[in-house]
Amino acid sequence: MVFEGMEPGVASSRVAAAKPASIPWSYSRRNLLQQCPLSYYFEYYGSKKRTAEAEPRKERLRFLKGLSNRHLRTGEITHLVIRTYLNRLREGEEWSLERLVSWARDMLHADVEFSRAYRPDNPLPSGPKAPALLSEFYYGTADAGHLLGEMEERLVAALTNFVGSPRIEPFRVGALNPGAEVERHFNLKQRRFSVQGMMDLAYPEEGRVVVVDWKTGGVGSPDDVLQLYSYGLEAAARFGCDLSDLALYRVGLADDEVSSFVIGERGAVRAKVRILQDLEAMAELDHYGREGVVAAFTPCGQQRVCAQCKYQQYCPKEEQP
Amino acid sequence: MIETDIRLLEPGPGLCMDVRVARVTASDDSPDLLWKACGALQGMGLAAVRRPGTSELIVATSRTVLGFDRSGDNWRYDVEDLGKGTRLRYKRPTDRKLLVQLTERLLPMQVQRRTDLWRLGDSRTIWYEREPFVVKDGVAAYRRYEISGQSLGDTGVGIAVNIGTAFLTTWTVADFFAENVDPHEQKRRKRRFDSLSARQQGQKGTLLYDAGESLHKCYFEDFRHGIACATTGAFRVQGQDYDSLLHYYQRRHPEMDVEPDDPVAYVSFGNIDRPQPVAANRLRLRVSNESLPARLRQVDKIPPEQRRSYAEGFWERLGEEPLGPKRPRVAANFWRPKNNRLLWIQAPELAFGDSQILPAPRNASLKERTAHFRERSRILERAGCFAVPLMVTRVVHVAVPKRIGVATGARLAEDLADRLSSWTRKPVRYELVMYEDVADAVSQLRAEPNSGVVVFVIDDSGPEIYYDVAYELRDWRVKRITGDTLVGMFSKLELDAHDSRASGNGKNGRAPSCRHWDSFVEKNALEVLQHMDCVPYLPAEGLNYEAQLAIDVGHDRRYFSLSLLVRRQDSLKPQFRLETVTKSKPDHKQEAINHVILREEIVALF
Repeated sequence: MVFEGMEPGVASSRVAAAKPASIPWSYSRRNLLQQCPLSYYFEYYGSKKRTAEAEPRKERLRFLKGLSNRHLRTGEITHLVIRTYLNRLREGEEWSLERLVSWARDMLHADVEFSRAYRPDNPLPSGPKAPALLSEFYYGTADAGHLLGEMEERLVAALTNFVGSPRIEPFRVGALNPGAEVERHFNLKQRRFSVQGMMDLAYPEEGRVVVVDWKTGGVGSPDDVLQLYSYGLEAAARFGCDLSDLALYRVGLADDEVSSFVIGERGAVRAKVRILQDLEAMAELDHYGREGVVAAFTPCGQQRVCAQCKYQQYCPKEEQP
Repeated sequence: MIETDIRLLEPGPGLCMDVRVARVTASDDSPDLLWKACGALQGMGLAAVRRPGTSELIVATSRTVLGFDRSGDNWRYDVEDLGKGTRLRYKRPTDRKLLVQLTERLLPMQVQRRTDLWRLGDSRTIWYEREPFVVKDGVAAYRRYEISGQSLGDTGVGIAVNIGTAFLTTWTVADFFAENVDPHEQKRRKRRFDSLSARQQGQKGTLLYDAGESLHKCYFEDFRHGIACATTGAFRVQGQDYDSLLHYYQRRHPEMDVEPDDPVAYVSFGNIDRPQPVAANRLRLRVSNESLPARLRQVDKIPPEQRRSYAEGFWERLGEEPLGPKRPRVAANFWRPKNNRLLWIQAPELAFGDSQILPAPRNASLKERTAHFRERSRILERAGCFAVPLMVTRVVHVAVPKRIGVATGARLAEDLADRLSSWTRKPVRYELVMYEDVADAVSQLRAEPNSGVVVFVIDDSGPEIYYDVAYELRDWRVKRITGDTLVGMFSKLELDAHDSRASGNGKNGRAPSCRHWDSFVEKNALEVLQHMDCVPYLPAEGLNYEAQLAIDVGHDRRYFSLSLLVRRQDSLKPQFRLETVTKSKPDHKQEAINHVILREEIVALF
C-alpha cells in the first residue's frame, strides 16, 4: 500500500541525511565531480576493482584510467622537474635551466612518440619513467601534434620563469629553509571530514608560514581558492600556527604571475563549508557508484570538457538544443 | 473569458508553409555542425531548422537554396539543396514542431530588420529596448521581450511575447575598478561591484560585453590593475596571433575605437575554455533581482494592463507581416481560449481547530482572494491549529547575537512565544540565548539537555555561515533569520512607537505593535509552527488526488526539493501529511534532475 506506515502531520523539512565523513575529500576528486559526474563514476567506481563489481566495461575502464592528456601531463612534468630541482638544490647541487628544459622536453617527446606509435590493445607500460599515453593521440584529435607543441612551449616558459624570474625567486630561496617541505602528501583529519592532497611547497619564514601552489600556466581566477585554502588548513595544523599567520601564494609559472591570498577565519569557515557540501554530494552518489548504477551519474555534455576526457569512448553524445 | 499574451498565426489550424529541404555533409556527425549550418543560413536571411534524426535542414523558402560550405579548426560542412520543395501543414502532427521552430526563427529576423531593439549574440528570442525606462542608484532598467512559439493543439501555432525587465549597471567594469580615485573610494566601488554582482553569494558576476557589432554575455573573472589593452602581452584567438589586446581590437574591431591605455578585465565565455582579456570599459554588469537597490525592487512587477500595452506596442512595430512578406500573418488580437479550455485553480475550503471552517473564496477576484488570506490569520488566532501533537515542544530557543541587544531579542522571542501559545492552545515559553559568535551559540545550545526548536538570528548573511549553523545543529530544528532583517523590523517598530507616544497612545513603556512587525513575527511563527510538527489548517475536504508532489530545482542547480502533500478522506490514515526534503544535486550543470536519483527519492518519500 502506498501510504502504509506513513505518519500523519507536518514533517519538518530535512536536508540530505548522508554521512559525508566516510569519504576523504581531495580537490581533484571534487573537481572531477563538478566537471562531469559520469567521468567521476568511471574514475572512482567503474574502474576500481572493489566497487561497481558488475560493471561490464571494468577492464576497459581500468585501461582508460591510465590515459593522460596534455594538460595533466605537462603539469606532472613541471612538478616533477621542480621537485627534483629543489631537492638537489637543498643538497647543494644546482641544475641548470638547460638541463631542466632538456629533461622536461625529453619526457614530453617520449610521451608523444609513444602515443603516436601506440597500437590498440597493447598494455600500458608502468614504472616511474614509463611514457604516458596521451588521450589526444589515442582518440585521434585532429591537431594533436600542434596542441602538444603549444603545451611544450608553455612547459618551457614555465621552467624558464621558475629558474629566472625575480617574482619567483623568493620561493626558490624559501625552499632552502631547513623547515621547508617540498611536495608532501598529506591526509588532514578534522572533526567533520578529512582532506587529502599534496602541498607543492611550504616553509616557515619570519613568524609566518608560506604555502606555494605551482600552476603551469597562469594563476587563474582569484575566486577559485578552495584548493589553496585546503592547503592552508593543512599548513596551519602541520606547522602549528594560526590561520592569520599563513601567507598563501599561487604561482603561474608560464605567465610569470604571483597571486597572494589570506585565508582568515572567515575564509576557513567558507572552505570547510564548501568541503562539507562537496562531501554531501559525494555521499549522495556513493551507494550508486558502489552498486555500479551508472545511470545515476549524469554526463556533463559539454564538448570542451568531453574533448579532454579520457573516458570519452563511453560517453553518450549530448545534442545541443 | 481570459486573454493571453499569445497571438495566433493565421489561418489557425489551416496553417501551411512552403519550404525547401537541404542536406548537410559534415566532417563529423556532431549535431552542432547542423546548428552551425542553420546559423549560416540565418545570416543569409533564411530561417532553417534541423529535421530530427537526419542530416537535413528544413529551410523557410520556396526558392532553391544556393549551396555553400564553411570550415574552421577541425571541422567542415557543405550544404546543398536536395532539389525538392515541400509544404508543411499544421494539420499533419509531424509538421507542427517544425512550424513552431521556423516561426521562432522567422520572427526575430523581422525584429532585427524593423525595430531598434537589441539582443545578446547567443540569444535570438530575447530582445531589449534601446533606452532604459528608469535609472536609479546607478542601475538602469530595460524592458525585455521574450518570444516563444507554441503549438496550441487544434487551434494552431501561437506566438507568446513575454514582457520582462533586465537590469544593467550604468557604470562599466572600468568605472568600478578605477585607479584614479582615492583608496577609500576604490574600496567602496569594489564593495558595490561585489554587492551588485552577488559575488559574496558565490556568483561570478554576469557581464554584458559590447563587442562593437554584437553584444555577448560573459562572466567576470578578474580585473588586473596596471594592465592596459596595449600591455596584455601576446595571445591567440581563433588561430590568429596578436601582439596585444589593442592589436586584436585594431585588426578585428577597428570600429570599437579602443585606446592603448584602456584598462583590461578577464572574463570567461561559455564556448572558450580559458578566461579572455577584454576592454573593461566595454563591460557592464547585469544585476540580478536579488541584488537590486531598494528603489528598483518593484519595477519588474508589471500590472496586466501595462503588460498588454507593451506587447501591443511590440507587435505594432512589426507591421502587418511580422514574419516577413508573403509569410503567414498574425491575428490582430490576443488569443482568448474558449471557456471549456480554462481551468480555475480555486483555493480550497480550510479546516482549523475547534471545527472552524473558512469557506473557499466565492470568486476569483483579487479582493475576494485577499480577504480569504487575511481571514486565515484571524481564524488561526481565534480557533487555533487543526492539529497539535500531544507531546509538542513547550520551549522555543531564540539565539540572538549580543551586538543586536537583549531588548530586540527578547521582544522577538516574546512575540513568537505569544503567537505560538495562542495557535497551539498550549503554554509555549522561550529561552533567550545571547551569543558572541556562532561557535558560542552552538556551544550553548549543545549544552541543553534536549535538542528542540531554535530561532537562530544570524549576524551574517554569508551562505557559509547559514550552512554552518544548519550543519552544527543537525539535531535541532532551526529557523534562521538574518540579523539585518530583525534589526530593520525592530527599527520600524520603535519608529511607530515613537510616533505613537508623540500622539499620546503609547503605554507601559513597551512599543505597541506595528503592521510590518506583526507580519514579520507571524510569518516566522508559522514556520516555527511547522518545525513543531503542528498542522495550522488543512483543506476541509479531500482534493482531486490523494497526494500531490511538487519538485523544484534551486537557482544554482546545486540542490533540489521534493514536497509531498497527502490529504485523504477523514476515515483513512494518514488523513493528512506534508513532507519536504532537500537533496544535493551533483550534476549542477544540468537543469534536469537525474532520473535515477529522482525516482529513488520519490519512492523514499512514500
